[in-house]
Amino acid sequence: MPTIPRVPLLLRGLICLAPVEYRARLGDELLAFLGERFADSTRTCEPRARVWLRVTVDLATAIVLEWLRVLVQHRSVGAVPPVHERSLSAEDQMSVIGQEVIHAARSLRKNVGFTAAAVLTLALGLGSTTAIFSVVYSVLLQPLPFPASDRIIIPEASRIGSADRWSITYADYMDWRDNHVFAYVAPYRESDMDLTGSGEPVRVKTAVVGPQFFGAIGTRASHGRLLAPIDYGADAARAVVISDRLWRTQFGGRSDIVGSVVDINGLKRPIVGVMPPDSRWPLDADVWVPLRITSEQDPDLQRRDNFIFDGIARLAPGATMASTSAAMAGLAARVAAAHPSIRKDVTMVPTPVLQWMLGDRTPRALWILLAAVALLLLIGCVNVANLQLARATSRQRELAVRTALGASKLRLVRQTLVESMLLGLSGGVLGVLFAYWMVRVLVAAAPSDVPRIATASVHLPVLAFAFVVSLVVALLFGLMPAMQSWRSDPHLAIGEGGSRASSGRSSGRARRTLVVVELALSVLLLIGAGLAMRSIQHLRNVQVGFDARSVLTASISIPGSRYQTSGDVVRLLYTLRDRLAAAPGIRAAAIVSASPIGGGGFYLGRMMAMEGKAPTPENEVSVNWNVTTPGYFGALNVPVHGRDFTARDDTASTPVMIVNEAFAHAMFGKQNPIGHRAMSTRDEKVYREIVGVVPNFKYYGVRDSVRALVWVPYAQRNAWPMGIITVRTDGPPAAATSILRRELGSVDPNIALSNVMTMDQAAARSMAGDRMLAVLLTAFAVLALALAAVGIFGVLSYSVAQRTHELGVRIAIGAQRRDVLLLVLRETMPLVIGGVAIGLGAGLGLTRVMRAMLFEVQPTDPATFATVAVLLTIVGMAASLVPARRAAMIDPVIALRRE
Amino acid sequence: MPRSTRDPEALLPLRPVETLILTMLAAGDRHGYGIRQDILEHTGGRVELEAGNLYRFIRRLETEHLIEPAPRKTQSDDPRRIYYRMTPFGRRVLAAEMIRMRELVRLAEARRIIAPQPA
Repeated sequence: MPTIPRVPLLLRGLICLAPVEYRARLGDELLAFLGERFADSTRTCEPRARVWLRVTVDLATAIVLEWLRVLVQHRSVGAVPPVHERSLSAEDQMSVIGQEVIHAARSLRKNVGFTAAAVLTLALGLGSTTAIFSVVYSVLLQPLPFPASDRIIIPEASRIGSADRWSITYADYMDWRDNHVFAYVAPYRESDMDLTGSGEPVRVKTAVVGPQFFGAIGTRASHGRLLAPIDYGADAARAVVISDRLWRTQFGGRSDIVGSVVDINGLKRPIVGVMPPDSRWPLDADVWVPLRITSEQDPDLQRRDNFIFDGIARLAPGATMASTSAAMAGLAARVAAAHPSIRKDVTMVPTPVLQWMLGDRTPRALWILLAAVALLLLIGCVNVANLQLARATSRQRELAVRTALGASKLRLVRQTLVESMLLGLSGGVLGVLFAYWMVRVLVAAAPSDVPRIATASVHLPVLAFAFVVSLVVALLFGLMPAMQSWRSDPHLAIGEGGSRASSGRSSGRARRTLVVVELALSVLLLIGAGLAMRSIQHLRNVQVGFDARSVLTASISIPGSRYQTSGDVVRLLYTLRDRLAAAPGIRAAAIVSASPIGGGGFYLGRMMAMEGKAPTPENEVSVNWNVTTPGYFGALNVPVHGRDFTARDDTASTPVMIVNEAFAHAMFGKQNPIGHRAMSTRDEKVYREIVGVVPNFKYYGVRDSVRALVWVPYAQRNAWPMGIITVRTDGPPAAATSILRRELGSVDPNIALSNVMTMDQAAARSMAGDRMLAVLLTAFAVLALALAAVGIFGVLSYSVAQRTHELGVRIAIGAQRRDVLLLVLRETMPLVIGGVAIGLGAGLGLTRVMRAMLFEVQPTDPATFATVAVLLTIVGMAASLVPARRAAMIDPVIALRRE
Repeated sequence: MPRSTRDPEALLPLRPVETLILTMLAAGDRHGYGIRQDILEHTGGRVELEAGNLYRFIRRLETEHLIEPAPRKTQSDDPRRIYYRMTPFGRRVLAAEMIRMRELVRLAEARRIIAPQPA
């Protein structure tokens, strides 16, 4: 007999929920089916998430439809008196359940207050959970819009044993291509280009791609064709593929678009095709042009340390991530052996494209948020369970009478569960409505660098999720009350009049447990929120090291077709800079290759060594190499020790550079570096004299650590045809945009200005993710705290009300009101302290999850933990004080008369 | 009503998935997963049935007596699995459906929607 592969436990559990008849007929068959389904999906590399989603939604739907069928079929049979249920067929039992649904609905309608409280609490939790899940689904789980997108990978260079990743060299690409490591592999580069059509030039994101690029992503053109080998010939027309968006916005969706010619960076290029909508990868490109290589023998392309290309590849048929990793590592090891001076310890690794796009922080933040709403939902469940327990206790008499009249315990349990299901589903429906609204808010408020968030909405998979979670939640909060009605003893309940006294010691214990759970969960959420708040506080207080107010930046790219020599570029940049600096309203102006705090731009990573030292690893300092015009540090209001560049620092004069203190310290220690010389050891190989030193400032965002930075004048090297205009203004910086446009237009009207933003905006943007995480966590935590307080208050009030008689007796025989107060508090304080303690303990477990999300805050931050502990103890005490005071006010006469 | 006297035409048109299931069973007995894989293969991956959905169609076909559980083919077959086979009535219904589709194709050819192909 062939063995059937194992089916995940969750799915086997799901099948158990199906009607008996269905399970008897198809149970084994379904298991066999699913077993093969999962085994095959492993073989065909179908994404796990896809299989799970399809299979669970299909099964859940089938089960619901089966139950409906059973219900509909046996409705006509009519009411069956539930005398000996065990002897009834599954179908008859179903019709009994049908009655119970109606009965439960009636009973819920009778208790409007209880029902409204329960449904609203659930809707809040389910709505938040659904909304966050829809973002998680759209950003993290949904496959990319390319065929078999899970087989697309990004090859990257990496240092063995570290998590650092960087781009690849052309030589490594050639290795992979010639050794058939992948089905398709292509190098590409991103670039900004100016597209001139009818009106003003527009800046478009461009991907300059190798021949197999479109094979690797596996997409087809929606109009015309994609780039083909003929487009890579030396004399081929310079073909271009455009995005669906560009086609619609710039060309009005013209049907004759294929074949028309556009001007891109001063070159006439024929459009050969349009990409399908949404396929704008990589990084929202609007234009794809061929990467032309004059000769692969070019020494620059043969170099093994020229990591200037990005790469993309599709796994070879039959290959897995593991086998591909091994193949890449093998080739990289050979390269490392052949070029030990530059490639020692460097290897090449594949990263699945989605993981590469999302990075580490976004998924982590989203999972944390999902966990937070799940906690909120749990707290909501606990509250509803509490309400139900209290209600079950007051209904004990009804239940007891029904038992005495012959209703089986099973039936009573089922009754409770059916009620819970109704509550859960009603909460789910209301929650989905809430989620619709919340997703819109989330998408609008999300930081712009979260990929794919714009596609988040409450669509089918999300609805399926909400449905399943509603049912699970109903089971969660329904289970305890159900167990309670299972344990209830009819004789006791009726005998005692069923009004109070020992309403069941176990029910009291259950409710006290729930209080502890609720408190612990709230503590956990508040700790998470508190840590995120502290982190954002630190981020806000970061000293970036320069004056970011009144600074406006904007980037430009200079078309190589019209500015062919380095001299042309320098003349343009320096003229523009001088005009800007002289414009009224502008205090200082400069053009730099890379702007601080995530303002964008371009820099090189280089190794430098000081004069007189051999370029060995121990003498070299790793630097970020930037290019600038004179006046940059003036624009940032940063003092230069020594001197700034001037227009006379050009190719004819001594090569110079300005460094920051980190560089100076790393290379010269305490010595004054000015006048010393150092060189970039691997590429430029020219000694540059240090003429100025600037203080350290945060360069690549507020989270950046201190790093060694170097600036050289544009005029002293092969000038990069791009720059970021940086101006300090007299008035509000945003108002200077028109000045920038005017001056740029007067120098060259065909160059577009893009990414215009103030430095403050850039700083805010680099914190947007942290802020959103903190705001959402806090919102959820406050909700949770409110729910928990209400829950605790409810439970304690109830327990005091139950003890009215006993407390009345105590007061009658001489107990002081203070004694009664203490008596109640003595009962509740252990619960509060226990809950807080458990929560704090669980909070310590958050360490691993939260650490990567925090900035200069320890995940065990004592201040946060202490604040949360004190806050929750106060809330717990306040919630118990009100019922305790009420107990102390009991009039013994009234209390005793109630007997 | 005895099966043999039922009019196959009364069940037409079949749903596309039902037609597919019957067509796959025409080639021999299969269990549920086999039917799924066969359909997947013959539709270029476009029709991908999951268990619950597939067995709902199978039950419909069973209640109409177009298919029925088949005896085990060989000893090596898993005794826990259900193999299905087409009933003679099922074959007649499938044939009737195919004739109906052929009429439709002929109409499309006559209206120049597709080019006529020699049979």
